[in-house]
Amino acid sequence: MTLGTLELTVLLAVARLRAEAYGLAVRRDVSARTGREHSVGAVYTTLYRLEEKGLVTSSTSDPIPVRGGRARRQFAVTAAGQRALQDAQRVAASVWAGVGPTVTPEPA
Amino acid sequence: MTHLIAPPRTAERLLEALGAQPGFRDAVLGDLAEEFAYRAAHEGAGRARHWYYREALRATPHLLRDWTRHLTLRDAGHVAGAVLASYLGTLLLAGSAVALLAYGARGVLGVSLDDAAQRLPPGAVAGALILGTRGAMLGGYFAAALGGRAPLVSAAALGLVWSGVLVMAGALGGPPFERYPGGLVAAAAVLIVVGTMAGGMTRVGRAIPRQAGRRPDGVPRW
Repeated sequence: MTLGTLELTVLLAVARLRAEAYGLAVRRDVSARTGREHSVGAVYTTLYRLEEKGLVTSSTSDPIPVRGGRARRQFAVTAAGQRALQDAQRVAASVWAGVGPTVTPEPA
Repeated sequence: MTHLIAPPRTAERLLEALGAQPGFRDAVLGDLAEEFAYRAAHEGAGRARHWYYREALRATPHLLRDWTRHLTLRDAGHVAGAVLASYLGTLLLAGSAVALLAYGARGVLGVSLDDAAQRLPPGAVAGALILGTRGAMLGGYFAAALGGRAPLVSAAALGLVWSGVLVMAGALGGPPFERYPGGLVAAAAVLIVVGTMAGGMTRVGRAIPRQAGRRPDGVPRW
């Protein structure tokens, strides 16, 4: 299964965060690692898309006062999600093979 | 007990009124509220509010997208019904106003409404645009009131329908549009869309949520 860049980044964040993988934490992790502040809507759209693809599951917590009485939605990687990550890692390794630790820029 | 600073309530209500599914909507709004509280505590309420408004704008397309993805025939019917009822209501209001003016022109000035309109000073056009915008606000208010799960979408749809009718009538050049430049008709169309959205937002800001939709802590929702 082919994953988009943000899908892969978000899925990796969910895998990394484990029990702490709820939307806000995922967004902060993705933003910190990509150096770009992703919107809450974009992250949740991606999380829901991953859930539709069967790569993550979600569950809701009890309502939390700081969230205006709204529940927190937590995500976890499924077996299919693990396989998708392994496939992505294999493809990335294949694509980067032979390039070396850094890409040398051409002289000016 | 730590006092929680609530996020801008009007902005929250407007996001709630975009018709997204409750699960998606609450997840997004909950995160916005939680991040807002964190930023208010660490950066101050002013900077937190500035952040919230910016993120609310960024979240809007995603909430609308969720609404369209889960749009049912019933939802579409609801929006169409709200638009039709508000359209007919504002048409009736406008028609009554024109009839009253025609009666006044004939009775007081002894001329037809068309002749009276030609004698009006240029500033009267601005007055008519303002009146038209206020009428659009009223229409948008009622469209949002009738709009069910997506009140702002209903208000925006009404604005698009009204402005579309106005632009088409202007393009055809029938009375009374033949004497007005195209730019004026276009400006009126834009003002109508702005007016209906303003009316819709006013309704959303004032809405009293239904009893059936209360959260466990009593915070109301659509």
